[in-house]
Amino acid sequence: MRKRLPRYLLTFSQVLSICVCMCACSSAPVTNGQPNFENKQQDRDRDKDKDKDKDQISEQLVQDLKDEQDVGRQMAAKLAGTMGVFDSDEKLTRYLNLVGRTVAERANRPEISYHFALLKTEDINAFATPGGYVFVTMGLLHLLASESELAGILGHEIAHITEKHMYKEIMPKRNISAGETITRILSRGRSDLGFSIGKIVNNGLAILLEKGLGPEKEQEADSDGIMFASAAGYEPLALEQFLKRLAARSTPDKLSKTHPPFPERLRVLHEFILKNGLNQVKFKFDTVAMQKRFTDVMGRYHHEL
Amino acid sequence: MTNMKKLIGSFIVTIIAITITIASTTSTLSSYALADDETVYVQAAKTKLLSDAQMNAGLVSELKRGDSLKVLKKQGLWLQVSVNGASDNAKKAASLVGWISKITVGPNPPVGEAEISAKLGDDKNLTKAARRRASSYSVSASSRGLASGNRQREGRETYESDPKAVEKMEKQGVPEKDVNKFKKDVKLGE
Repeated sequence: MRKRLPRYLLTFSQVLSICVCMCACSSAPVTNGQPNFENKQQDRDRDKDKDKDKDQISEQLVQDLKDEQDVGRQMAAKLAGTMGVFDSDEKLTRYLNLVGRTVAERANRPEISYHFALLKTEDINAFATPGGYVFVTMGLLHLLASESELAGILGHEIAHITEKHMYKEIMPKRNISAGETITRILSRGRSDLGFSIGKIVNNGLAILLEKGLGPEKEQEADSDGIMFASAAGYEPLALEQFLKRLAARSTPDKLSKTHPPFPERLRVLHEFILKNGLNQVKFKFDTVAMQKRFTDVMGRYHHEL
Repeated sequence: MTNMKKLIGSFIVTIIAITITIASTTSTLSSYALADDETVYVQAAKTKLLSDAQMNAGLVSELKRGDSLKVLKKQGLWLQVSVNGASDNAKKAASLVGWISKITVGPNPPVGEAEISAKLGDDKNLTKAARRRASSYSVSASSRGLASGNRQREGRETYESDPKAVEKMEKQGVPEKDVNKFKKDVKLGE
């Protein structure tokens, strides 16, 4: 008759096997920091997966960009349709695009192609729609005193695009429904957003022209915007100076409807400037040459505040 | 006596099990910590690696789009990084440590318009592709009597659309060499 093992030894062997299994599972694939042959194979497989992931990322990136640009382009068309584009002065439009591109180069979305235009309205405002469309109103343009001020304003709008403020606000925050999938299939790839695009675009326009994006996003666009403009070499305090002049105006404007009140906006911006040493940055551009080219193009449009 | 032996045995077994489990968990955690090293890539055309988390801090090195950086520390708008290398410029700056604004970097290598165009194949360019898709939307909308102007006049559409104005806006872009000359003319960003 065989002698039975003591029960505690059995328990010991069972627990030990469980622990060994746990160790084996958790320590793979590296042994003492040196991958063995099997691990090398696993590494190769993982690299292949990474390459596949990269490809999927770029496919996804292209699809996301297409969606973003479709929405932004339609919003831009509606802004242009509602207010009209001022395009009779090619030199002015070119100047706006040159300043805008100079600032956008310092932002973190090189995949975006930026386009800048002027809107035929005396309202003081600027707008950005997803996908790289930026508008400045003639009302705002009349009040600019320097190229650095224009750079600060364009920086603010570019920041709305890089941070996807509007896009995240208006795009549905859910997985694609079966209905939308069918729409995508039926549209044979032309309509990536299905028929909901009209609603999305109108909602975006209502935010741009009536409701606003909210104080947090506007303040973030102010701070990112002056960082972009300052990195491009422009005077970092120019946006603050422009907003101070605007705040001192006695007549209320439509900007107040969609942006935070000036005192709060200026307080937050000034704190940001001090905290990040932007008031100490020495700009090195040729001030005389820059002011001359600004006056050459913009002088005829300038109105004193 | 037998009960006492059993008790001691169970106690030893439990201690051994706990020790082995802790050891395995620690090794797992340390491998996660290693995997947690974050790498970011410069997305801006050019950016400055600074000696402190301040825009007025001293220049450590100038970085270019695509340079790879290992994140050492995060502080508000700023990242403390060490340069991994990528461009010839970054190779010169390799292993240098400094601060960079997080709004100039991204988690993936930068993808420019050229790469996007290559990905699009026949469409050639993202803007042209968007124009083509927009045109197909408006053709389909018009065929259903849904032209923007009509809808707006009938009070069904709040905002009138002018896609031609946007097309013109897209064509008014300036080439990179003009942007470079524009900067150089007033010594901007040098």
